[in-house]
Amino acid sequence: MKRTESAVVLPRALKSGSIVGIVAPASPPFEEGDLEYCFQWLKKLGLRWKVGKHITDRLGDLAGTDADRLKDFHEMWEDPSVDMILPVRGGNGAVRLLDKLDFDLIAKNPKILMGYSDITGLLIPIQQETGLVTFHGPTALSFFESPYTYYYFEKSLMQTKPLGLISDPTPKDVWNPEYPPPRLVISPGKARGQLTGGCLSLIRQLMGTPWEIDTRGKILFVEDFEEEPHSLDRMLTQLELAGKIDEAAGIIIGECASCRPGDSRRNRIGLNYSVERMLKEKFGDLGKPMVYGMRLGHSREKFVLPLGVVAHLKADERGVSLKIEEPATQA
Amino acid sequence: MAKTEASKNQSTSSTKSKTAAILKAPPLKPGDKVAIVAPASRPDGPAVVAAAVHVLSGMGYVPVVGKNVLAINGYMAGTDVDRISDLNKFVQDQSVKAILCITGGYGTLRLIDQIDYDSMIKKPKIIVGSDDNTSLLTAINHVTGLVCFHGPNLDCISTAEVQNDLQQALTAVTALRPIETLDSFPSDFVYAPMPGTAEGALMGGNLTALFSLMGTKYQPDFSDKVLFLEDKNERNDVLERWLTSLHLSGELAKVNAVVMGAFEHCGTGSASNMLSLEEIFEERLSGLKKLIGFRMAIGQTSKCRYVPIGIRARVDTKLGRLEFLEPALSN
Repeated sequence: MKRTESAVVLPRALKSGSIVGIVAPASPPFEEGDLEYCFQWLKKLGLRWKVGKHITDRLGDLAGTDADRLKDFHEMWEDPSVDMILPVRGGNGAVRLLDKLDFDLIAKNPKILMGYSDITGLLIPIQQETGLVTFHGPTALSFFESPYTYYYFEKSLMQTKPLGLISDPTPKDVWNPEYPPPRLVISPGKARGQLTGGCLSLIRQLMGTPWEIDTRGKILFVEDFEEEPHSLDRMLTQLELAGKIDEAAGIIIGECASCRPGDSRRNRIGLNYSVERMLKEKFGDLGKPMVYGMRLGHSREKFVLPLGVVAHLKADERGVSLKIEEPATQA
Repeated sequence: MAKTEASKNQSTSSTKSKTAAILKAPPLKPGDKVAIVAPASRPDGPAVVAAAVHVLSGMGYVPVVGKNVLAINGYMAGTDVDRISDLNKFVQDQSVKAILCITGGYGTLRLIDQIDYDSMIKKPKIIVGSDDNTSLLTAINHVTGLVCFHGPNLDCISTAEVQNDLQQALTAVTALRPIETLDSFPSDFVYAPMPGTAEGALMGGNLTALFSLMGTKYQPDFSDKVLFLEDKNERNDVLERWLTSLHLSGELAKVNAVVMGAFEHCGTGSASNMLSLEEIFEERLSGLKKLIGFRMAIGQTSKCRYVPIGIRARVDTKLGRLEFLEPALSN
């Protein structure tokens, strides 16, 4: 049951007293006590919460069986008192829910869903199937990780104005700045389009499935964590071979935390060169904007990108600007 | 799902759905010229190239080494132009009767849009490799129908047994001898949660490299196949991602059996509560009532056998046996 080129649906913004449904559709919290911090920070925003029954279940790296995780997730959509769904974290397992996920239930009960990493596996399919704007941003255990993250978390949820021009986090130490700089131009240009994207491994995982990412005319953002440059190359090349780069209007490559040569604990290859060099070699003459370094996803300071909302990306010799032009929520 | 299909039609060419008729290369004769290429990463050094030359000369052939085999470009053996020009030169050179990859790593995905497939169809020759070269072999087989050999790259030929097996693969005009459990000693014990027999054309290789073709016009057809898989240095939860996608894409339901080879240095990343690869695959495949056997001698190391992609085979998971039902080379 596919809706026609789904009209964009804005979820309602949160107000004081709104209820956040905390679930674990992928992996469970590392340590349960972390949730106490989440509750303290939600209180500061004047928000209340409900917690899914199976949130601390464990089955391998998953928070319990697919059936139990899906049941928790469905219950939060169904529950009229819940205004936002906020997974505890990513990890692994979101994509395992897709073939049993009730998209009609979600379409009938639009609300805010936010997350990153493995949660990308829900953000893209739900946005594409229902038209509902979904939010690439922090999870229940990371929205209070830094003032920058918290600022965008609050701004994207608690009011209905467009997010506007995105600013960078304040450098922690100007004498020892972190690589990559947040606004490297790989290919110059201007583009306007709906935002779509998320964690590259998850975008890759959706390839060949009914929920493969649609990048036509859109601004595609991707990022990842602990992947070596050759591994990012492999995933981007797969997207390229599938026409996803061609079809996009512009591309944002996030910071990609711990993706510098030799950073990965999982998958090392010697002789690597940098992500920056790989991008410049492959996409330097793209003929449309590609930028690298913005702090999103696995960056410890992250802004929120609402999927389905129109943004404008500009990259030239004067720098890079990203403006989210339309509202992501309604009153 | 109508939308996904529409986007596919737009982004992929006509090669996608067609399955090319089977094509077999002629067997090698003593004195034939054989080429050594590095379409992915660079071999460890000149000694590895010299050893490969020594091995192939010892087998009675005249090895020619690609000009850029030892070129360095980040994690690849030279630029894309370096690597594809070496490969296409040998594809076009009528005096070269076989092309053997010296090592894997990463890089063939970047070349598959530029391979001279027409020359390959006009003058079929033997292609051998594994690891990242799975992308290359699978794309060639998909586009041209040519039977390609998945097995140890030249830098892994370190025993007389594997050399003999390669010699068989390069010369036999009768069906190659089966891959089987030689005795019940655990070193070559095949574990089969689903015992039984099935037949089909062989496809597969390195799971990561195979999955890189999903959603592209080189995505192979999984119908009625015996799918063999191997991987190296990868965590179980990452391998699970690709398996889940093969399931969601509907492709897994089309195969007749799955044969699992060596998963060298793959595992739980030292976590004791993670699910094993056997459990992860068994769950999906027993749900589909598909045969599966683990620990077959298929992969990249010298203990592994050469497997011709594209020919028909019969798998008996109870006996731990993979029988080739037709010759891999033409008469």
